[in-house]
Amino acid sequence: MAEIEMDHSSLIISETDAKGVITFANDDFIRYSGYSWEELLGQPHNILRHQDMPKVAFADLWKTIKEGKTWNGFVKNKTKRGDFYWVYATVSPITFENGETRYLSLRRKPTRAEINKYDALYKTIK
Amino acid sequence: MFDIRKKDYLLLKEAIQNCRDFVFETVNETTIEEESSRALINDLLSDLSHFAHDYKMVRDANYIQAGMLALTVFRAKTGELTNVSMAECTVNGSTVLKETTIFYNGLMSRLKELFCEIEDGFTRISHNDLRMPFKSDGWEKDIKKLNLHINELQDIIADQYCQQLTNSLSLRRNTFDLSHYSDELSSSSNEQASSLEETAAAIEELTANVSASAAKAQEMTALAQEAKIAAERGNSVARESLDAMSEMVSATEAINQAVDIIGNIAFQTNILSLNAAVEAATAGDAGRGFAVVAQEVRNLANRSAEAAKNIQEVAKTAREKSHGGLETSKNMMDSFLLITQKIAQTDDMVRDVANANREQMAGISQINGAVGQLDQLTQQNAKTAANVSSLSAIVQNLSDQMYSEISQKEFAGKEEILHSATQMQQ
Repeated sequence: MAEIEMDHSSLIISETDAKGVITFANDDFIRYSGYSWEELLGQPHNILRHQDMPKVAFADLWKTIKEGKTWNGFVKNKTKRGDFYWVYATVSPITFENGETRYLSLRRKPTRAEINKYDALYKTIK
Repeated sequence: MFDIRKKDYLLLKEAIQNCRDFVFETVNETTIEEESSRALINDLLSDLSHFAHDYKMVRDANYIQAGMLALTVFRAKTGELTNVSMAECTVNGSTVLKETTIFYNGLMSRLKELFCEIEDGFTRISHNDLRMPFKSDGWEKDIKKLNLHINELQDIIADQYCQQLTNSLSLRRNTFDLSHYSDELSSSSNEQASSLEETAAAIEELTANVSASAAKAQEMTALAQEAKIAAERGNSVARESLDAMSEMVSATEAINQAVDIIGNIAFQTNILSLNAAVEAATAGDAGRGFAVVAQEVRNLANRSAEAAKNIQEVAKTAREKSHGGLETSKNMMDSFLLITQKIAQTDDMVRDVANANREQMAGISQINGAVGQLDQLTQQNAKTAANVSSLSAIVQNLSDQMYSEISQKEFAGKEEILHSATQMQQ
């Protein structure tokens, strides 16, 4: 399956509820994932999860954000067609005026060196 | 100041470069390792690493802050006005971004107030109160213009309500009149129907009368026919009488002629007896007896003449009488002729009467048809009047509804219209 490389200027933004169900996705999210907004709304965020990703990475992500902290990490995502794209993710819990907690996720382009490093690392963990 | 080994120099240079890349975001994480054998160098590397770690918190905070702002802007774009959410990490973020968020939240609050104001206004309008103008305190330009437009709209609606109220009031008055008139129409149609019924009865009576008159005319025609025959018979009897009278006249003429002859014979006999007397005288005694006879003959002749004269007298009278009879018969004939003529005239007149009766019957039948049509029309009229009546009840109902709907609404000019309507009624 082919790799899709993010543009340097792209910024993927998404929001999920406390259970990880998608409540918002921007145009870049739609562009790289290959899903339409109608297909994404109400779906769990792990619709993008690639089989090469180690489970511990997501366990760490959930543990961190549930503690109210910001999580950073490199993630290999799977598109609707089965292709993949690497992102550098920043995920943080956010709180609304009514007290509801959601999660905000921002993704930027990783460098090739970073991709290679984490690709190799995740293979050893798996 | 102090010597530095090339290896350490490169380590430091690489770490600085790495920090630079991290700050300018060409890399996502720092990879500074404290690998020097000299504590001083490792201390510097550690400082750089701490700097990068501190900066990472600022960068994450700014990203999260910008992401939350972006989310809120996206939502506002689709029509959902919310404040920017909060995240703990953003305390480390840039003041400019935080200030921007505060400004943005302030804008959202103002907008929400505005929308609440507009929503309240529309709720008020939907609850039929158009008397409060929208406030645009503190707003300028576009939003002030929007408020002005909404107020204009409210004024226009209030104007329309005024118009509607005026219309519904006048509609109410008119439907009241309409129902009154349709009732009148209905009752007059009913009256008309009963008059027509009476007319129809009268026409029936008239028909019977004309029929009776026609029958009488028929009888009269038969009688006139009989009278004509009788008159004709009278005429022929008179003619026979005339003929008989004519024969009597000619018979009396014949008697007269015969009496004339007798008179002549008597005269000649008288002369002959005179001659015989003369001869007898001449003959003397021998002739005496003869003279007596001659005298007797002469007497007889005189008596004959006398008788003839009497007969002539009687015949004359008879003739005169016959002439009179003739005249009477002629007169009778003329009279019978006149009677026949009169009977013929009477017959004609009776025929005229019969014709007139027929025409009258045709006329009556036409009138009957017209009355029938009138009856149908009247019935239709009555039905239409009833329909108009029920329709006017519906219209009245509707206009009442319209009035009660519009009178529930509160708007400028309402009281004035109601006041003037009350004055008009009075």
